[in-house]
Amino acid sequence: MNLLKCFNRLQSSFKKLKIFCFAFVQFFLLTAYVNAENNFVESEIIRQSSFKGKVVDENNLPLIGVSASVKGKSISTMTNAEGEFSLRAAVGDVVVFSYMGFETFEYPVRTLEPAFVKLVPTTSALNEVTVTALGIKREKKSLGYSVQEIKGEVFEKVKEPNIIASLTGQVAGLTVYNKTGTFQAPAFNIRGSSSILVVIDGVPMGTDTWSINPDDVDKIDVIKGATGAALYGAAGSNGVIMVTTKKGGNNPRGLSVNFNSSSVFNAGYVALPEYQTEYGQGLNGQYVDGTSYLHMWGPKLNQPDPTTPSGFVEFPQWNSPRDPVTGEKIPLPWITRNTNPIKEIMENGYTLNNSVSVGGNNDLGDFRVGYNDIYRKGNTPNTNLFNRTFDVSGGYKFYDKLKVDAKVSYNNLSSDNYEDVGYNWDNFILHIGNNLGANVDLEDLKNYWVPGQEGLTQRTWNPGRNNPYWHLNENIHVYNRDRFSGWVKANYEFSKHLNLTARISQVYNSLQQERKENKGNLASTSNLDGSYTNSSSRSTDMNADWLLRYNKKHFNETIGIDALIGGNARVINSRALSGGASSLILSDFYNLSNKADFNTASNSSSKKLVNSFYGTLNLDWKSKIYLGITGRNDWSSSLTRPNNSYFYPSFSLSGIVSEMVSLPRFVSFAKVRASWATGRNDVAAFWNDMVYSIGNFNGTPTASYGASLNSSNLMPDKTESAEVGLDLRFFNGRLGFDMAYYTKIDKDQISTTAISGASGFTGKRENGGGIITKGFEYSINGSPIRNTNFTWNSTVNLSYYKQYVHSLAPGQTKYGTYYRMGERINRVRGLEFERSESGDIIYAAGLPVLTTTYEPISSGEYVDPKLVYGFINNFRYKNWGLNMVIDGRVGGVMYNYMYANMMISGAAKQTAVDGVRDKQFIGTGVKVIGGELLKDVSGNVVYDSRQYAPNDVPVDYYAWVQTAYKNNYSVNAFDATYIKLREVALSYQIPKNWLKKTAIKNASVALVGRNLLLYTGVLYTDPDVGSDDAGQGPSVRNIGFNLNINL
Amino acid sequence: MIKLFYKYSFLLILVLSSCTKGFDDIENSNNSTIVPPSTLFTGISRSTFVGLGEAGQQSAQFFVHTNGGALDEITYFFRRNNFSEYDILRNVERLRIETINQKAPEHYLGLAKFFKAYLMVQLTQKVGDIPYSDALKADENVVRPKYDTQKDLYIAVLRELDEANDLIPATGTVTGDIIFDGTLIKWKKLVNTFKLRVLMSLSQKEADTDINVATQFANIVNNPTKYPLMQSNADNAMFKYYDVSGFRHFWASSTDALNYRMCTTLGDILKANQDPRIQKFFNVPASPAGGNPADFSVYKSIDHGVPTSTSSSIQTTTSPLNSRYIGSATGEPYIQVSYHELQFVLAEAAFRGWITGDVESYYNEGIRSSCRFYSIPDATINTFLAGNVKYDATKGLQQISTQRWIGYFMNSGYEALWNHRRTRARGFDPSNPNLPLGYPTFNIGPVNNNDGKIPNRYQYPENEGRLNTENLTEAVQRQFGTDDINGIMWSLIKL
Repeated sequence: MNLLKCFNRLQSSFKKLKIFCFAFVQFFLLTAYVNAENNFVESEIIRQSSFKGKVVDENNLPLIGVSASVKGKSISTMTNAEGEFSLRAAVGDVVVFSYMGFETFEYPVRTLEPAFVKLVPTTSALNEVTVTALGIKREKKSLGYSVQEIKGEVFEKVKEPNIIASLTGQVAGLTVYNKTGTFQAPAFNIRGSSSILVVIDGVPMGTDTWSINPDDVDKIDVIKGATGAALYGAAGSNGVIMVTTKKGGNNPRGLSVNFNSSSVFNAGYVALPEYQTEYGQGLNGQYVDGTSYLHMWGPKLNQPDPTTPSGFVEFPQWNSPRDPVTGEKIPLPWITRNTNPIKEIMENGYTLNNSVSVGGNNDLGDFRVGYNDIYRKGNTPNTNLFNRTFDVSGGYKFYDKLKVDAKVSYNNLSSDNYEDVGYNWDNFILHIGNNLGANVDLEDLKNYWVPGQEGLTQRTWNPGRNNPYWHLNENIHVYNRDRFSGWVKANYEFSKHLNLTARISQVYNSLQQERKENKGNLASTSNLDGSYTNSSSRSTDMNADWLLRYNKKHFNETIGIDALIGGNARVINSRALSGGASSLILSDFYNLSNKADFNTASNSSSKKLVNSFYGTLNLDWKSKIYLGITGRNDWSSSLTRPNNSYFYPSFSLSGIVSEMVSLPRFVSFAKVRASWATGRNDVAAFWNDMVYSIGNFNGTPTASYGASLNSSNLMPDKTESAEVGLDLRFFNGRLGFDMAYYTKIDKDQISTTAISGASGFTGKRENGGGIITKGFEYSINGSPIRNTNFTWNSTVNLSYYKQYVHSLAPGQTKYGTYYRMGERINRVRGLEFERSESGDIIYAAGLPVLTTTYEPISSGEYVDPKLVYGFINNFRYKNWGLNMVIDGRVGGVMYNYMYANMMISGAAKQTAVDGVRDKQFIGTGVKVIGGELLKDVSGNVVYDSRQYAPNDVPVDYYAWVQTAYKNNYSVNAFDATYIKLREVALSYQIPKNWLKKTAIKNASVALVGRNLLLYTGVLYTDPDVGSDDAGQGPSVRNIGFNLNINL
Repeated sequence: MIKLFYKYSFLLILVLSSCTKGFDDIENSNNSTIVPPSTLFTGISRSTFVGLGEAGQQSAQFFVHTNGGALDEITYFFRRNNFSEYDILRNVERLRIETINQKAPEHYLGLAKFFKAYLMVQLTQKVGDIPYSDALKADENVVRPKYDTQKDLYIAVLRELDEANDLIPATGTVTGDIIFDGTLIKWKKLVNTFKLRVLMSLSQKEADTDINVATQFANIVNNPTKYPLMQSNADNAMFKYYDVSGFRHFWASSTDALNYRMCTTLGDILKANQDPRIQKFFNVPASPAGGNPADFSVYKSIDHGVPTSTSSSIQTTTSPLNSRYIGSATGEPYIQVSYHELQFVLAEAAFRGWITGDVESYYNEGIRSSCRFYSIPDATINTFLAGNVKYDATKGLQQISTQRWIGYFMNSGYEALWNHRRTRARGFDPSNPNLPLGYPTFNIGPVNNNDGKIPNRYQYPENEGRLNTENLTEAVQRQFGTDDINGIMWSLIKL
């Protein structure tokens, strides 16, 4: 709790902290330079009396930061930027060189002549170490489940405000849905589950992805199944994104400073709605001003008329000035005044990402300070996003056996205004996207108040739609979140084989949001007199845990035992308070006192405790067969006894086939693995309480009881997952292949099933149905070219899954509303054209007939993609590097609201091709000329004797479009297949000799681009967003540069 | 190693023993898990007695809508009812439980029994058989309750009302009372008055010896000490409206109510009888302007069941609802059970010979108290009583029923319609042309979505068919064969 107080105090003095932070960084920049100079002098002296040399890789390129130590003595050093080292060693000593990713090499010193050491990369996974649950490092080859690692370099050059976007295509089984809004986190799922735990340095941090500072990331391990995450309990049962941050200890001995600056600018669009520019607003070819619900089905624009001053047809319009004498509207020319309102209203946004870190280490400890500042100016005018992170981490060895590490991180995520998104009238894209046509002068719209009624009444082209400039300036969302997280960890080594870790961590979130809506909002759902809401919430999530680990080989080194027990206590607290003022008195003044009508206020708070006890036992036989068992028991305060105590085990088994049988020479490594795990998930605090809601009748208190019966014997829901996998490496690791097949059953899902109201309740909350997810993942990586000057590394990730109904709630015949037992879920449902037996569209009075119920569409498609892929290439030629990420999805159906609305409103380009509006329209299809169709109550056809003739009834084109495109999946749903050039980074490493006389050890510059090219059949919008465009804005291309300097 | 284990096993013990420590100290700070019974009583009173809108009134042919309106009841297309009574009954059940748990005064138990009876009767009158003995037991895992027959239901309800009377004392006060300002004796009077309404609604079952309608009726009337009844309009169970947001009259901001016009069915009777209530119910038409409210001939009506084109075309020349019903925040208190209704019930009981009182004096007292509710002076009432409405024993049932029906104008929910249904004997025996078509005679207009008939009931809720299929199917089959709005429920079938 002291930690919390400390956080609170830190937060209250945030401003001071910021100043301190800058001062701190500047101080280190200065001292770093001085120190670098000193180091140089110091090493000069040492060099004269020591063993020195150079360490290179297989391509003879110098390796920086290789640890060189004298065996049996506490003398060690690291190689410098040239790969050179020097240390005090005598003839007869053995110097051990070790470096991540390379085989450890022991060099017996026979002479003090400079040595030339070439390290060999680890060709198999033999020595690869990975971080597993609870931050425990284990050999990767021993794992019986699927983990995919992404190195920090991936995030180094090309930045996204939210790091998840950078993971698109990088991991097989991780599907990322990127969105276009200024302040929208990408949606993502692992193996079809979207509730993914984020763990930073072994400490669970909830599901927030904004506070992961990309420059702070050393690597990310994505644990896909429940087995690897079993020890994280409920939160991890769908997978874990495990972030390992950079430590001071990763830097070469002494002080090092890293500066990274990246700037990307919007450079056009990869997806954008297209507008017709030939017709203006109105209906049925007539201009309509004022009262009607406006569409772009008005008169043709740009028609010459020699009798008018402009030479074009003129008539009074929405923005006509009035004759001062008669008060009549003065005619204006009816001409095209904009070609694409979205494009013209949007601005060029940019994202600046600057970070600086200072780190150092010695034999006893390490520390690192980092500051990261992301600023995004949205391409929607008047929107922005700030994301700033300040980290301090360090560790110190107090005794040989006791090491203490700690980290504190502060993140501020804020926006002065961000655009509302989604399919609602607070999304300004919907106001302009659907209804703002070519006749509207956007410059004129910028004066968005009616003269004389400033702050009260909007001036707009359409009485039912907000003026976009009003919307952007007078309908404001403010967001400000402070997030502190920190942990302290102590590790005590009783012996080489037994150690104890104790850790306490806390995440503190403080969020303030404001919604400022000025007078004059025309959006149907909103208040014409304006409103203001101010809500704040605070939450803390504290974890205290301990771990006792024993690790030793027994029986002549044949049986390895790695056992662990531990416990965790978690406390989750939250508080929220919200106030609102409705109907503002003063325009453009946002305070809760400024209310003409009434104030609203609400608050809530909750507390939840979860205690856990867990253990693992990992056994290996001669490092060839590995068996892992984990078990965890949770006690949760949000469930009732005895169901609040629940146990879940996991098992994994893997065998290194290549060590057991003799395989062809080109197979350098082969592993098979299998695992099975369960997870249990509790509910939110108070969720299962039976409560009264209270109110009053004219001052007399009233109460009423909840309509849903919560089961007092609610069990936590259950996840069972099984996975088999294969890990193959060929040609000394030049080619790797990893495959996984999994099934995942989510069952005993807690849901509220409807029951007869006569029972006293209309719903009953109980453990019910379940679904099963089945999927494959493939990851292929290779180095087709690897020589001194040129390397090419390539990775292909492929994955897909399908979900089926696994079980039903008691007494139910369907899962949810639609799906029967065993049926595949997420089938696309909607209206479509009614068709004759021969497949022709049926017409009635010249208009197409649509089905009336949201049944599965006849193509039998599903929302989920058939395949998700990523193709990543890294090329290096001398100092040049080229990174390229291509990714995409195959299949899946996306409903395109933007397109549908623009068709219906007549704004879409497709509504004005080939003069289609100027003639009568006869839709292709048939009409019924006799016979009858009879259906029973369930909608099944009893008999159908209809006879058809080709449709020959002409209608107005707009009438046809407005019928044909209304909620019709036949025309508005698109195959969401796409391929995207996600990322390109061309980088250049500044040659070392250019930097010789500076303090700079390393420097690189890069030209970067993101979201560069899109190829898809989807019109107007970027299918990256998912199964529904939700009225999103255009998809922007980003181009910029990156500068990285190491001192 | 062993030593180490001993040394640190205390940690393990510590953790295991404290696994649920502190769990019980966490209290729900967002919602209350316990409330005083009075708050439930207030909420139940509100939900039960809040004034019903227009459905029951329009189908009872008091007034007609002139622009179509949205209610199916206007065209006698009675669709699916919902089971919203059970939502209130859930809280009635909580009132019972909280009273017991908190050892609150017993009169809350009596009130809970009254509300249970009241709501069950309200619902069964709409649809027929409903779950009763199996109902409200979801927490005992009865999620598909069986339907009780209407007979079993009524037997149980009458018993509940008896128990309610026993539990409510004749003196003292109750907290949370928005109907009678806390006077318990008025609740006791309501219980017994309501019981007489229920018994009269079973008049077709006079011969049923399991119920003994007449005996039960007489027992109450003959023992006023044990079973006090309403004694004046001051005892009316009424729901009052307040000029406070959320508690205003249901038509306080309705423009729809402006479209209602006097229905000929009511208008002709009021005019023929020179009924002084006409000017309390309706305004004179807007056109021609300047009509004298005291002149019966200026009131014009529209027939029930005419097309909207017809009714809207004569909108301005026909009589709208009295302005006090429309656009007023407090409107008029909404009566649910009244003293004048009781008088007509007693009159009919005397007419049927269940009790020994004088039919005419009950009848006259009924009309008088109804008129008094509208503050009509006694002199006017006396003149009125001596006129065309004067009791005539040869037309006793017809007169009592008609006056009872008029008394239900703008109150008591569906009672007007259900009583009309009860007296509509020919509807239940079409073979006998001498039976009455219900009192008074209703018009069947061209706009009727029920084959020219006035329906007898609502259909069961759609979700009941999904969620309680077997029990509902059984109940429907044993009563009506199919879920037909013209089906005749048990209480209407003459034994």
